[in-house]
This record gives sequence, C-alpha cells and structure tokens, in this order.
Amino acid sequence: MNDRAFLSVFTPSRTSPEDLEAITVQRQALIEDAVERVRESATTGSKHHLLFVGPRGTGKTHLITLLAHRLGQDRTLDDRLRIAWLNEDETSTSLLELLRRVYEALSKRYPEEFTPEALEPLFDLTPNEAEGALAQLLLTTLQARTLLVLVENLDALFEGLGQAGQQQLRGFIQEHPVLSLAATAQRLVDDIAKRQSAFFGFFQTEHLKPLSIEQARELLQNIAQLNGQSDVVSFLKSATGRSRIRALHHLSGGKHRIYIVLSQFINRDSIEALVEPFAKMVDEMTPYYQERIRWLPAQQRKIVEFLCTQDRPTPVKQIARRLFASQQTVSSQLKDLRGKGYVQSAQRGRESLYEIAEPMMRICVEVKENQNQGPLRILVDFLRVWYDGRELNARLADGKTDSMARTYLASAIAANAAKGNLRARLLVDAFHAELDEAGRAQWGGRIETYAEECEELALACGYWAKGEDSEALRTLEEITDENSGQSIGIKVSARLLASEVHLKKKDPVQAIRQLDAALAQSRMVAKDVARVLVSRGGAYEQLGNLDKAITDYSAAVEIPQAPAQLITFAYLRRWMAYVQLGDLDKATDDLSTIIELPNAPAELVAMALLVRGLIYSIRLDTASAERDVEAVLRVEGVAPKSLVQSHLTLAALRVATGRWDQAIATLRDGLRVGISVTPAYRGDSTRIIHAFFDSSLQPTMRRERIRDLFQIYRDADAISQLGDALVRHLGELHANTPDLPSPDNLETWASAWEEAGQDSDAFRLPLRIFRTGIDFLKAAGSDPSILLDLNQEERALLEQLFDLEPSP
Amino acid sequence: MKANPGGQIDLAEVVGRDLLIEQIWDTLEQQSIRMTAERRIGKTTIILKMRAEPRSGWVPIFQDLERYHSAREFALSVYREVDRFLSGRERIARRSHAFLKTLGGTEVGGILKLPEFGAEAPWQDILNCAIQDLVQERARNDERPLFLWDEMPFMLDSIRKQEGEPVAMAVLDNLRALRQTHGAAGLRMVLTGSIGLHHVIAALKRQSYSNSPLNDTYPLEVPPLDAEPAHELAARLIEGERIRAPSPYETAAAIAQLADGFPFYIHHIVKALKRAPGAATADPALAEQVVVSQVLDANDPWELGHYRSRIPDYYGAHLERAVLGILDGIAARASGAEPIAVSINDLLAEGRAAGTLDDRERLIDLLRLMEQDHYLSRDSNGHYRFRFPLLQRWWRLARGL
Repeated sequence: MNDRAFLSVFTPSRTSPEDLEAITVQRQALIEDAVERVRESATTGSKHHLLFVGPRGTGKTHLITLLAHRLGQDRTLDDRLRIAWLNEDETSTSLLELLRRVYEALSKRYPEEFTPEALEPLFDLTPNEAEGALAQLLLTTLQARTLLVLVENLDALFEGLGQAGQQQLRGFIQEHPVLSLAATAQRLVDDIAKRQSAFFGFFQTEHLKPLSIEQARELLQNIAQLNGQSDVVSFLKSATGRSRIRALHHLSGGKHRIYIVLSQFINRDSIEALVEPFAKMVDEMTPYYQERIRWLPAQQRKIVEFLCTQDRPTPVKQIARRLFASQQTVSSQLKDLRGKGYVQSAQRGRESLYEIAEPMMRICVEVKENQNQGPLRILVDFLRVWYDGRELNARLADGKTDSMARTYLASAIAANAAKGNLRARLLVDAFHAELDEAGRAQWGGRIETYAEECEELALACGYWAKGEDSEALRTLEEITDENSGQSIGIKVSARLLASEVHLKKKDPVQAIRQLDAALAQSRMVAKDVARVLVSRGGAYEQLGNLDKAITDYSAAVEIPQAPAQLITFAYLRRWMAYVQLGDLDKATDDLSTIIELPNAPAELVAMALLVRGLIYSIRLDTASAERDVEAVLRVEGVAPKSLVQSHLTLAALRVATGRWDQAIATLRDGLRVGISVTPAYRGDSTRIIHAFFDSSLQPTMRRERIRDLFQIYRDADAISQLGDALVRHLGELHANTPDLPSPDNLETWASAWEEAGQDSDAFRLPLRIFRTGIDFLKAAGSDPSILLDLNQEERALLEQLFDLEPSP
Repeated sequence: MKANPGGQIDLAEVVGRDLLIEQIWDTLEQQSIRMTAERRIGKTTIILKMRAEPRSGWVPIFQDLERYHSAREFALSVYREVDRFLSGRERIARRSHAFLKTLGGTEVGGILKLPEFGAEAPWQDILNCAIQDLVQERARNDERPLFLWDEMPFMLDSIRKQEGEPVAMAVLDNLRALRQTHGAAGLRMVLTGSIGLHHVIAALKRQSYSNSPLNDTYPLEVPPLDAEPAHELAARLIEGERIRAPSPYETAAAIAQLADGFPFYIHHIVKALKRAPGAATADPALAEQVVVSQVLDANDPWELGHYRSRIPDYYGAHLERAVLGILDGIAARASGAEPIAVSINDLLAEGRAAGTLDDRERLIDLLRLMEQDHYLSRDSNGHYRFRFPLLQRWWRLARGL
C-alpha cells in the first residue's frame, strides 16, 4: 500500500495539486470551463471575471488551487498570463493596499519580474500618489500580459474596501482592461448582489452545490484510490459501504471538507476502531466549529446553538418561543443564517422548518453539555446511522466488546428506542426530499415500512418510486445474492418487490422467474410461501394463464400456517379467476369458503357475503340473498361503508318483494349510518330505484311512495345521490332498448318525481337531466337532438350514459 | 469568443456597433454627447472602442468616474490623466505644474507629487487649468481632446451625498462652462451612465437648481443590437463555446430574439445553454427553456430584479404604486411574448379605478420618465408598451400576472 496522501482539511492549497486533481469530483466541467475562460482572458482582449459562491467547506479553495495549478502548467500561457494569488488572511481597506498585495503576490511567484525593491520608493509617497504610481508600476511590469487575481473570501475583501474602495477597484479594472478576477465567496453579499453596488452584474457567478450521496461516494473512492486502498474501493461499492456513505452524508451536510475528515472511518468495522479515533477527531474539529459559531452575532449564535440540540427540523415558532424572541426576528435571522450556510430549511404547508445544515456542528454544544464525561451525543448518533439495528445488538451482545464501546452501543440502542431508528429515518427523509407530493403520498408509507425491515429494500423501493426501475432491480439483485448475508425472509421480500416491478413493466415472465426463484429457497416460512404463490398467481393472470393462476391460489389456500388474511386474499383472487373463466359455481364456492373461514378479515367476509347475496338475487333466490346481505350487518368490525351498502342492497331486495314499509325502514337506517361517519357515505341507490321502478304499482300509489322516498333522501341530505341513481337507472333502461318501458310509464315515472321534488333547489339540476333523459327514452332512445335541451356538460353526462357519440 | 456576461469584451470582437460609433464621431464634430443606455446594453464597450480606435484628429481620454466621491478627487483625476497623457507625448503641461507648485506640489524622481489640498482647495481651478493645458497642447498639433466619462451620474450622486447639492451643481456648471469656453477649440465630452442623468438633475432641481447644464449636449440613446448583429454575436458565442447545435443558424436567431438584442443576455443565454442538460442538441426549443429557467431562477442571474427594486428610488415612494399599476396593467394584457400597447386613456382609467393616479398630466409626465428609463416605449398611435419583450416576460412572471 502507498503512504497515505496528505489531504489538508482546512488549507487545500497546502495539498499537492496532483492529489487534489486525483480526488476532484462534481466540478471537473466547472474547472475546465474556468480554465478556458481565463485562457481566453490571457490570449484576447476579453477579460472574464469569475465568482464561485458556496458556504465554508464546500471546496472553494480546492477549486481555486486547481485553477491556479492548471493555468500554471499551461506553457502556452507563460508569456501571456501572470497570476497573483492573494493571501486570504490579509485584509485591504483601500485600492492602494489591494494593489500592494497583488504586487507582493506577483513578487512571490515571479520574483525576477516583480522585484520587491521596486516597491520601496512608493512608501515615501502619499497614499494618493502611491496608488497611482503602484498602478503604473504594475501595468508597466505586466507589459502586454494579462493579470489573473485569485481572491478567496471576496466578501471579506469587499467589506474591507467599503463602497469607496470597491468603486475605485472597479474604476481601475475598467480603465485598465488587463485584469481578470477569479474569486470565491461564502455567499452573495450586498456588495455584489445589489444593483447599487459597483460590482453588480460584474461577475459570472457559479453557486457551488453540496455533494450528492453519489458524488460523495466518488470522492471517497478517489481518496481511497489515491491512498492505494483497493479494499476500500470495493467496500464502497457494497451495500454496507453505500449505507455508510449515507451516514457520513448525514454528518457532513454534503460538505467536501467533512468528507475528507471522515473518510478515514469508512471501512472501520470494529466498534473499538471507531470510537476512539472518532472521539479524537471530534476533539480536533471542536475549535473549528467553535470558531465558526463564535463570530456570529449573538442572536444568530443562540439560534444555531438551539438548533444543535434538536434532532428534527424545528418550526420557526418553536425556535422563537424557546429563545424568548419574536417570530419576525428569528425568521429574519434564520434567513441570514441560511445564506451563510449554517442552517437549511424545509417547507411543511405554510410553515418553515429549520435544522442545522451540518450536524457535525453539534460538537459545539456537545462540549458545553458534556462536562460530566457522558457519551458524546454526536458519536451516539453517528453509531445509530453507522450500524443498523441488528448490528448494534450483535455488537453489544459480543462479550469481547470493551466497556467504553458498550456504553456507546447501549446509548445508541436506547436512543433508537426512544426517538426511532435514525438510520431508517435518514433513508426515508432522503427519498421524501426527492419525491413530489403525490409520490410521497403513494410511496412514503411503504418506504418507511421497508426501512424498518431492511434498508436495502427501502432503497430499492425508493428507486422504483423515482422511476429508476433498473437501479431498483439491481439493488434487489444484491439482496438476493447468495453472499449478501440477508435473511431468507428479506430475500423473499426482495423477490416479491422485484416481481412487482416487472409486473408494473408488463413483464410477467420476469416476474414469474423471480417468484420461481423465491419458491426454490429452502426454509421459507409459511407466510412467505403463501405471499409468493398469490403473487405468482397474479403474474400468471397477467400472462393470461388462468389455470396456472388458479393452481397457485389453490396451493396458497392449502398452506396450514399461512395467515388467515393471506388465505382469504388467495380465495378472493381465485374467485375472480373463476368468474373470468365463467365458472360461477366454483366462484360461489370460494365466496362461501371465505365466509366460513375462521379469522378472515371482516371487510373481506362482508364483501364475500354481499357478492354472494347479489349472485343469489340474480338467480332469483331472494331468501338466500337477503340472508347473506343481512349477515353483513352482523359481521364484527365491519366498516360503515359496507354497512351502508348492505342496508341499501337489503332495501332494494325488500322493494323488489313488495315489503315497502320494511324497505323504507332499512333504507332510512342505512342512510343514517352513512351520515354518522366522517366523511359521510351515502352509497349507491341505483338498485333501489331499479327495484322500485320494476314494482307494479298504481300511478297514485307510485306517486305517494315517490314522495316518501324523496323525503327520506332529503332527510339524509342525499338528494344528489338520489339524482345520480335516477339518472343511472335511465342508462340501465336504455341498455335494454328493445324492451324499453312504454312512454306513458316513463311519463308517469318522471312527473311523479318532478312533483315530489318541485320545492327542492338541490333536486332541480338532477331533475332537469332526468327529465331530458326520460324524453329521450320516450322517443325510443334514438333521437340525440332531444339532448340539446341541456348544456354541454349535462349533455355529455347523458351521452356517456346512453353510449352516444359526443355531440359537437 | 466565449460568452462573457458582465466582463470586458475584446474590442476586436465587438459586433454591430460600427454604424453607431460613426454617428457618434459625426455628432462630436458639432457638439458633446450625453449618452443614455440601459445597464448591460454595452455603452462602456462602445466608448472603450472609441478610445481604442479614434477617428483621425481626435485624442480620446477615458475615465470611469464612479471611483470619485468629491469634486476635488474628480479634478485631480482629470489633472493626473491629462498629465500622464501629455508626459507620454514629450511635453509637460507647464501651466498645470506651475499652478500646482504654487500650492506646494513638488516633483520627486520624475513622479509628480501632488500637494495635500485643504478643504478650501480650488478644484475648479485645477480642472480648468488641466483642461486648458490639454486643449492648447492638442490644438498645436491640430488634434482635438475628447473626454469619455463613464458613470458620470454615479459620481455626481456621490458628490451630492458627500459634499452637498451645491457642489454637484457646480461640477455640472463647470463642465458646461468648459465646453463653452473650449468648444470652438475642439474640446468635446461624452458623458455616460446607467442611471439616467435626468434623475440626478431632477434631484438637484428639487434643491432649487434651475440651470440646464446639459442642454448643449446631444442626447444619444444606445439601442440594443439589431437583429442581424445580435444573430451574429449569438452565432460567434455558440461557436466559441463549442456548443453543438443541429441547426446553428436557427438557434442563434432564436437566442438573439429571446434576448431582445441585449448583448449581456445573449452572453448569458449562450453560457447557460452550454450548461443545460441536453446541450448536445442545442436548438431553439432548448434556448427557450433556458430563458424560462433563467427568468424564473431565484438567484436572478440576469439581474432583472433591479427593474422592480429601483422604482421607489427613481420615482419616489409616493409614485411607486402608480408605476407598478402601469406596468402591471400593460403586462397583464399580454399573453405571449409580443408587447401589447395600451392607450393613455386606458392607463388613466385603471389608475383612477385603483386609486393610484387620477391626474392626466401627472400620468403623462410619469410615462415620459418611464420611457426615459427604458421601461416603456410608444408606438405610432402614442400608446405605451414595454420597451423590451424580455422585460415584459419577466415582469409577468415575477409579479404573478
């Protein structure tokens, strides 16, 4: 192995440029572009001015160092370019001081040309004269060459120069177009961003982004390669390696500097090899973070210190309350802190939540809090992310683990128990951030459930949610690899998820291949076998092979220890397959089995009863139908929706058999149940209307009962459901066109409803559509021009109902 | 040539300004010029090109004045510039030297050491002497001095803030007097600035300044590039950035149009195009996408936000709502990129309805000012529309119209 390269954490300019080149990620194109622009500045009259903006630790000095290095290596620029790299620790309060620093930087790099002695006579002049003379000296010595000035912390330089100094500098650059600036700043200060400022619009500004997890992996890989650690390079590609990168990402907030600090830990497995060096690293980094917090204004410092104590993003309101400050004050300070890169924000509805941008900053409060030598919270959190729950337990249980490590492991386990699994949360949070609102609603819960079970599964699900199917499948393949170390249950879950991905892609063959492979596993638990069989049945259905689907469902229902829910689900799937095959007897048998199954989920039993009841009613076995539907009302724990629907079905059955009073009472009960829940559910009344229309009644009697019905629906605030049912019923009539009711019958039906609902505003619109539909049917359902009485939307509704071509 | 938004452009690469520069030289034969131009339209590049390639018989001297905050600093800078200029030409401005020496100035090792002036220093005398030296010196060689003074309004504003309105007024009067005294001998000035000089003079007039110190100068507005040179610039930048465009002609034309001929925006679009995902096939549609993303970008890379933020400074807080109402009213009517023109009567009716402005004369005055500040222009019917379609587009998005 090579000696480890020296990578300076705080002064990348001290790192060898070759090493910096070797580890550079994310910014290759940016650096190449900057080099090209400076090259054009050196070789033509155009002068580019570049500004790179990013918070501390985002690799600005790294970038400037490489820019200087590449330009310095370019021999074609030897006679065209001179580089003045200003010492970032010095300040300038005037153009004169800045020019002196530029000259001195040149003198350091090109001592033969820019001799220190040439400066001497200028110190005898007044500042005004010295400025002019020094400018002249610089310009004369430069000859026709271009001067590249590299400035770090341009914001600090501009602050020192003040407005007048900035205007002087800008004037100097305009009058002598020989100078190109390449600068960095922690943020866009007003001196650059405000229109009134002299340098407004002057720079080509690039905002440096934090590293993504993938770029972080590349950085760590480059560092390992530079150090000749091929074992670490392969480790980083493994699933464990990737989850550790995520752990580092959490601590670093995407900052280059922190990755370089933490890179040493990446392949440390043993807890002892981690705890002590980590504590040492914390010790070394503490002054850095303390310094960063110390120079903040007091109010901002308090906010940062408070956020350091919080585990989750915190609402502004809560921060303000805890600091006894107004929300407006805290809010404006937070905005400033965000600009400085100390905090990051997220939006929840209208509320802004803030958290520390770099969790390592917690070190600062740790030191204050930790005077009693308890475990460092930052290290506890680090372990919570570094190891998954199983690993934490296993390491604690290992008798060889030393006592300090045991304390940390126990603290990590306790913290996970009290606050939830941090590692799983980070994973879920990462996907949440990448998905839109609809994506979060659809996938969030599932990713979260997987994250608790196995984070690789959650990863795969997250990729799938983002539409990255092949990445999802690749991750699942890693889980199912025989050397993955994952349990059989996890491997089965992975294959089930993979089969879902294939099915969504309409590739049932691949799905079946995954499920076959799952079934080939030995020592599978009954539940998993049943899950796989039911899924494979679904895949066969998609393939069009109903027989094989039925075989799989049949096998699933025979597994003795399989959970009742899965068995019920398998029967339901088989019932649907039989229905598709037209074998209603076998289908009904499956419904009967579900109804009799001990421990079957109440909702599925209710559904089976309702469906079987309907099948009986189609076969005109009203008694059996009524028995089944009534049975729904006695199923324990059944949802209100099913209760409403069974009441309405029962009412329809009773209307059909002439038991009017009973039917009315059942309907009233059903609607009452529906309006007692939130949101209210009033079901579908089409069946009742259908049965009522078919019952042979005297016109007078029909009018009376219509009045009764209308009143019930009105009482239950269900007029629109009634209107829907009436109109839908017309569609059913039209579907049997050859046997359309007589025009008289239709007319008495319509006029009775018009009479009943004449005082109801809510009924007016449904009634109008209903009336037009009736007129259409009275004309034998063949004259679409009748529908022109309605406006476009209303007409479209009936056209759809009667299956007509849309009118123009 | 690479895209270089905000930077200095190689003068050999300046596109589409030759005709305008010829017109400027022609005008200078007769009188001095006050040049107005929206920031980023390229006025500094124009005057730098004039300095680099003067018409025969002219001696241009360029100064960026934003660095000077007092009349004294200004006068001394002119003195130094003149001195530097003359010494490079074998003669010394003896009168200036003699004058300065009376005040204690000395020469050390060839470097003229200027005296430390007191608060009562006669800056007018320094300025007058320096310019007189120069004019006389040039006249002997049958040459005419031309001062190219950039960012003059910035300096006047600084002087006004630091030394008070009377000094700023005196600077303007003094320069006018110099033009009158030495005009016949050939002295000319080109005064430019991105803040309209009319704002500075208006501010001074509020302090009972009644002169018209610029009425001897020719007002010249620098327009955006015409379609053809804008197209040429875009094409050159596409080539310089090595952007692969399947149909470079159409892409360049689209960029020129999207940028309203502003060189600054053309540079910006090309640079953003280079970075855009899919830059391998840079076509007009991608250029359009880039413009939309740049206009919507919260970092405001094109710095269009200043069109909004400067309104209270330009027109006073009391007229802010009226100006916003006018711009909103016009922008809201437009649906596509084409500007829509609105009559004064309609704008007045809207102002009355909104309670922001109900006096026709005040509205007309305000519209004229907004025209001078490049927000609006008038069509042949006298109706007002956005001067630049790009600004209208941004305004609609930024104001949620």
